[in-house]
Amino acid sequence: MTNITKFAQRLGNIPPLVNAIFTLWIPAVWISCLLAMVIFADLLPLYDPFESDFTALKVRGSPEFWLGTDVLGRDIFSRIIYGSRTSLTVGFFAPVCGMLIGLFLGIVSGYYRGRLESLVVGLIDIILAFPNIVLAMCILFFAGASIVNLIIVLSITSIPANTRIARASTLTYAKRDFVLAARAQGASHLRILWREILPNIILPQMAYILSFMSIIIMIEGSLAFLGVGVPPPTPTLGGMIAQGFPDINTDPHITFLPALFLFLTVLSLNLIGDQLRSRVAVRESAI
Amino acid sequence: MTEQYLLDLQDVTVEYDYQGQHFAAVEGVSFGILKGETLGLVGESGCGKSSIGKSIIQLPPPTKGKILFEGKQLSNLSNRALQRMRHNMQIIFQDPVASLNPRRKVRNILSEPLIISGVKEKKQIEERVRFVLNAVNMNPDTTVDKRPHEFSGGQCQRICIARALILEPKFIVCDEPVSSLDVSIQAQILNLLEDLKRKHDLTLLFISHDLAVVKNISDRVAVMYLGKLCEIGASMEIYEKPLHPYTHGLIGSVPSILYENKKIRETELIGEIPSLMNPPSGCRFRTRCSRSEEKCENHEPDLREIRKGQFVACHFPLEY
Repeated sequence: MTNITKFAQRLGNIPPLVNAIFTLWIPAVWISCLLAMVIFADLLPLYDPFESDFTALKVRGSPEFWLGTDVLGRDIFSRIIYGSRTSLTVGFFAPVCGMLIGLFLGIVSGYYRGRLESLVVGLIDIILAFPNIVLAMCILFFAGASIVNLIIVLSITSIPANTRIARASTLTYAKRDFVLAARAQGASHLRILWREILPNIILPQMAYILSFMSIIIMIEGSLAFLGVGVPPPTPTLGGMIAQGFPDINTDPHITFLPALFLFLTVLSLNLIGDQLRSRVAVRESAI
Repeated sequence: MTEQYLLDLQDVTVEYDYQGQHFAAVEGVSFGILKGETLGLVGESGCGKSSIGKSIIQLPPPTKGKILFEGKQLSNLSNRALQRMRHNMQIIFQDPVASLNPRRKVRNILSEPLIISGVKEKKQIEERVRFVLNAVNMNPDTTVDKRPHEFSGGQCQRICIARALILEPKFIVCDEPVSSLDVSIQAQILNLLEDLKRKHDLTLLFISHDLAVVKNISDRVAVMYLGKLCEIGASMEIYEKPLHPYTHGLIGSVPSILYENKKIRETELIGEIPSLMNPPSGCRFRTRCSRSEEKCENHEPDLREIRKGQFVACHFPLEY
């Protein structure tokens, strides 16, 4: 037996507990810590993220500045926390808005079918015809970059996928006998959508939302990196990466530390999302 | 004649569009159900049994023909009047698990019909829920807070029956209610249905492909083939002396030790069911019938009374 197959076998034999620790608990702890720091940032003994210390430019990590300072002598740790606040705000509200709109469109088009469905599907295909980032850049360029605009734009980009998921799950439930039974009892369409179909599709939909959050956070970072996101001096993770980029040869920590935070956050959201989804899926099939 | 029927189907046609093709799943079917009787509706899969059941509860309504319930034509009713009429007619489906919402508790599933019909008092709803659960031999204390997946198929079917009963209907369509259950559970559910029928003065339309089950429970039996009614008559007559060659073949093909009638047992149906998209001309059964002649190809047989109460749609009915 070759070493590679042995290695692969050992990988396959990870005990469930160890697996759960790495794919659920560590990411969950990371996200909770980050959330707590972002929410209570104003109360924590952090440096002012806008204040420059010109005696300490591009400092590496030290007891005074934990993660060092950037080109303008601002504390990187503090800027990462405040930058995550922007990312997470956008990364929370945009997918939630997108999900609500997508859920509505998907459930209605999947239940009523007919012309309404064709219209919704056509609309979604039009949105999908534009690459996400290009669409977002265009709108932000004309509407002006602000957090609210960013949330609106990014929720538009997450509507298509949400609509499709909602429509697909509605289609499977709308044909079930319990919907017919509700009709036989004289339930109105609205009541059926609300009482019979929504409770069944909301959980799978929620399981996807964490994955959307990670995608949105990535897009937000990319937009900031490209210079069309929230304008400076407001700290954002993408903006920090862009700002440190010219000095990447001499002072890589200015770029890599925010990038590491972005990476870990997105990875954690994806891992938790996967776990959540697999658990929901198992329950579905058990029924 | 039509006055005494609780439910009267006149020339009912149910049409569907499927992948751009238009076809009739049921064509020109007429029969009536007397108050308090159980009518069995049998036939091979795809013959339109379930379409009839669903068109009776107007989901969807028949494309042509009339359905009269207590003399009122259902398709003429306004939405509101139909809503009220629905309390009188309920349906039980084949797959009990699929016909219960997996995310709701039994209490909510059972109280839903009452809430829709406008009952507001919580105490009254709770009382009714407990009453119907007792009626289907389930213990309300241990069941109301559970979800459907915690029950077996037979128990789920009891809950479905309870849900159909809670509005005190006069008429229930049983759309293959025991087909997905174990044989021992089938007997329980059938006995339960018979009991409830007697206690609550119900009229049943019992749709099934299982001839043994239908024989047990029905007063009269209607046989369908490819969207048409072949034969209708008293249960004993149909099973002992079928007039239509199809009925004869259907009974003969039951792999069972129940049927002692040697003459019937020797026959079996041959060939495949023709497509509904392109049904045979004349008598639809002629392609599989051993007695078919030229007349069968050119003329469609009408339903006619051969023996008292036994109608058959065949040019050359079997003789005894």
